[in-house]
Amino acid sequence: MSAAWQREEIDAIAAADDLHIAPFRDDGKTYGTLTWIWSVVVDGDLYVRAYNGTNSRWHKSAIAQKAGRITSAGLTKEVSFEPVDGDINKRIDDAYRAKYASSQYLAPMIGTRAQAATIKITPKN
Amino acid sequence: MKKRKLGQDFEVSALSLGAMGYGKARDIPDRPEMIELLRKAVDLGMDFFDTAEVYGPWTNEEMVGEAFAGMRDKVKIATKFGWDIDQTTGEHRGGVNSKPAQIRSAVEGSLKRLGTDYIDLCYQHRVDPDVPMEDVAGVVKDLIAEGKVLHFGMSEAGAKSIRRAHAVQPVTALQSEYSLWTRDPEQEIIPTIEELGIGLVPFSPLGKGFLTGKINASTQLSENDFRAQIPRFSADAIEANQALVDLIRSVGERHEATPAQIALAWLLAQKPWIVPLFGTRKLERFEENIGALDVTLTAADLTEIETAAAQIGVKGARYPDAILARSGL
Repeated sequence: MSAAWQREEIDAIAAADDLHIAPFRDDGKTYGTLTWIWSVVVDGDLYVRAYNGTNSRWHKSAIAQKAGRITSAGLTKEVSFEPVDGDINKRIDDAYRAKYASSQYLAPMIGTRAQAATIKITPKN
Repeated sequence: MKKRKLGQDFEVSALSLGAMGYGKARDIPDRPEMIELLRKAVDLGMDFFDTAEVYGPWTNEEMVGEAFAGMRDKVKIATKFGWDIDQTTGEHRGGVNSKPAQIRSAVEGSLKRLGTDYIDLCYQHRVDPDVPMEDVAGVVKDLIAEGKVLHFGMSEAGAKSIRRAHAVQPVTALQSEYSLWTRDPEQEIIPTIEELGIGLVPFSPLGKGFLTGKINASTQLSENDFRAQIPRFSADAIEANQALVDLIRSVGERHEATPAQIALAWLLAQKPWIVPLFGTRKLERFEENIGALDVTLTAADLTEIETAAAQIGVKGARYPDAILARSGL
């Protein structure tokens, strides 16, 4: 059962650049290695993209297993993953532009490779 | 755990755990927990551990000895002589001392403190400009003949000193700083030891924590944190050097690996005779670091790192000048 993010949690995650993601491995119960990725928040929803695109190991696991764990801003959360497509990606691009304006990783994060590997993260319960 | 060979025949786990961070002063905080961590490392397959007479002085070797009491045959212990330690009081008088009598006394003391009758790998901690390398190597050669030392090592030594020592007593390993942000050894040292068949044990493989990505411009290092004295850890250097962390973060993203694992995997990929030496006070970090052995960087990864790293000039020296002056002699 997915739920919405608490306001103060999502604000803290939006401000931090320390989101680590660990989708379940193939057995559906072992967490993968907490991997440090680039995250943004749009309208209170949390989105991430794979810098290395759909070949990123964590991304493959997230698509296959649909669940796992994240850590960010001192929080550890059990979460669900779902792929994202469509117009929302333009707003996600804008959020990356705002959050990572000075980063050399901005261009790849709004490029087609990462765009094709966009995932929405929602908390369980 | 995977094994690697240093020198001609010294086989050790492909990663080594150093005890220096458990106490460079005489009192060791959390000593029982650190002993437990050292033992746990053996349970997890590691067999190569590092200490030195000067850590404490003396108390760090005593702790390592206590940790491995009853399991001496399961571990390979490296220790070091060469700083000017008063052999009666154990006070570090400052500076180096590799006079033959000092080496003998230090090694005898190390054997007692470690509770063993042999040292697997005995390093000269820093070159002593006042004692010819041939004399140092000669004493170690005698200690090897007596069975008290199995292998000879050097640390932060220059190429000339390595050659002079190696001609008298073959050197098994060189312990020097080498990592993605300290690549100086690539110029002269690595070609030299490759030619001579000497292994490399890089210390600070994670850049004293910087390459883990957990230090940023807002990190406040406490006054008693040694890193506060290191130019590379000034606030503006940390900010400038963050590009290197971003680089390993992006490679780690592909492999589902942490920055620390990528930094270690990069070292392991450089030469098959490199055994990175890391320190940690936490089991969780230990497990993360040994996870690097499961990360295999591809040729494309290595090229990407090489190309990107070449664009990033690391800002700030790796040590304060007084300490740096002891290296490369």
